[in-house]
Amino acid sequence: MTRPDEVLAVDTVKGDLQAFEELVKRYQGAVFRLAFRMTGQREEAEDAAQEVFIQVFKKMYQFDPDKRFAPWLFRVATNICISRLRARKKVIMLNFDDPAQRRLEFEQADIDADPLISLEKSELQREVQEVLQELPEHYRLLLIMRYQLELNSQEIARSLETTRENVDVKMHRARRLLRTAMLKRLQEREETYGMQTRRQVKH
Amino acid sequence: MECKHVARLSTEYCEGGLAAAVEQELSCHLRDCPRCQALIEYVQRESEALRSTADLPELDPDFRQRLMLQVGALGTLPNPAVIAGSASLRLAPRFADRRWLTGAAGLLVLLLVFGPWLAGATGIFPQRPQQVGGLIGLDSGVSVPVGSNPETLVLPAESLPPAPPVPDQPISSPAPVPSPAPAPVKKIDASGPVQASVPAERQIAQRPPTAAVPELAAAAESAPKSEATIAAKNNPAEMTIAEVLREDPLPILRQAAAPAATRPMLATLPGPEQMPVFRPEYLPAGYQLAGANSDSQDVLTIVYEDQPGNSLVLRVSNNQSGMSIVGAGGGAGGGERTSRTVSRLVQVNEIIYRLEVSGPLSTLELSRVADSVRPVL
Repeated sequence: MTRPDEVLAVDTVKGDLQAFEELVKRYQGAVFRLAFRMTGQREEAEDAAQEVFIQVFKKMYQFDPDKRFAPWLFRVATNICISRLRARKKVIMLNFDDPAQRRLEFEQADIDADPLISLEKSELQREVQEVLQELPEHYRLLLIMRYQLELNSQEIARSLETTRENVDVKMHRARRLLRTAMLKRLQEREETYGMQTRRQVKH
Repeated sequence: MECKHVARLSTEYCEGGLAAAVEQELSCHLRDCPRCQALIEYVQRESEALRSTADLPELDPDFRQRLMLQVGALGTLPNPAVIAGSASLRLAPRFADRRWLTGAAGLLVLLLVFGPWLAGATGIFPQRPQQVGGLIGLDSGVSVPVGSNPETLVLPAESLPPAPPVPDQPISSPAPVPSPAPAPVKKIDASGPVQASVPAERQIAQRPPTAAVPELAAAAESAPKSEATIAAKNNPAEMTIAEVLREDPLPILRQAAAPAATRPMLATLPGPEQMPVFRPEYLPAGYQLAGANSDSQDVLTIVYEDQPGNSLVLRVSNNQSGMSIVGAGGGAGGGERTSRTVSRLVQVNEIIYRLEVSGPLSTLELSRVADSVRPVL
């Protein structure tokens, strides 16, 4: 019979290293996936995952066994990923007539998804993952937790220490922002391709 | 229900988050609206793409083994004292906590009251120092002046470590100073060997703390330097701009650094502060490095081309130099009216530089290039 996560966590505190290893085995994939989607780099994601589990081991005595283990673990993982992203930004980009920021602003206008519909499956996957990396961190995190870790709103809310309603509202905005960014990306590309085609004709 | 409502509710509809009545109404609308049908189909595909793990790399198979080795080295119980405390807090009834707390507080008061007497009677503590008039406090060898900051303790003179010898003329002292921290700013003379010129005041500021204790300084000097020296040589932060350029894979930059006598380019940027070399990590397809130059005091220009005349120009200037935005076609090799320019401010080592990327591309592409520019430190 498999022991629940919370029992394993308590056993870890008692000194059972095998219990901790079992927890690592259960969650290493999810933590690595979260770290990779947040950082976008494999090596950094592995380092972050390692840091997460070491931190969890060190702080395991703070875990309340009356609550669920997974949200606590993901909270630690989230904090570490975000602090790594911030540390990586040694070169600080200041906002200076930045159209890239403006294009990602949430737009109230209705979205015409026609250009997006024609995308092939693999192309769509690649574009979505690339646009995901451009989204603001908090929106990116929500989308990763929902779709990559397959957590529901309640679990995300527990992990981020917020309310379920807040998660739902932010998730709605994140999806809309993603779609807006996708659409603009395609439109910009169309514009670029069109310009290049015209230039070639001129030459 | 109108199409704009469908657009707003599309995600919730696809993921089953709508009330039954709203969902039914939306389904009715979908039957008669092919545009909204296509939108819903796209939203479903987008969700699939978000769930996709096709591009996810494999986690190192040894990850868990390596991790457990590290965890094993940490010890089995991370914090036994706190664990014991938290366990008792969980298991014991509340009044028991208060009882222990009360007991501990009482013990502390007893120690405070009778501690000095016990210490004197048992001879646990060494001979007390001479009391200075006007001092109060616990008689444990350290006295606190009346009205002073309690954190500012007055130690007996014999307990202080001997003062380190002060050099007579520290600024002009020719003695070699071990300096593990690299000088962040280095002047480069392309015609000769690269030398770091550090002002005398900075040499004093960079003196490591071991110099304050003669024994430690001597030990540091006598320690084998081989590993540290090798590590410092391999550390990019230790390398000069010229060395970075030599290691740079871009041939034009290598060319710029090697025959420096004939081409005073990147490696010889003048100015009050040595400017780092900047390079974009992203370039649109087809663009390759075509040239690089420092055409004025502290402006660095790098030109990329996909075909002759189609130039993507990256300019970096020290923001304090007040370089004005040169509009369309201002870059070397530019000249098309369709050129656009995007600007960024970048802070490196507390110095703000201004980046400008110009070229006949969309602002999105120019922004992607500008956002990917990183200094080669």
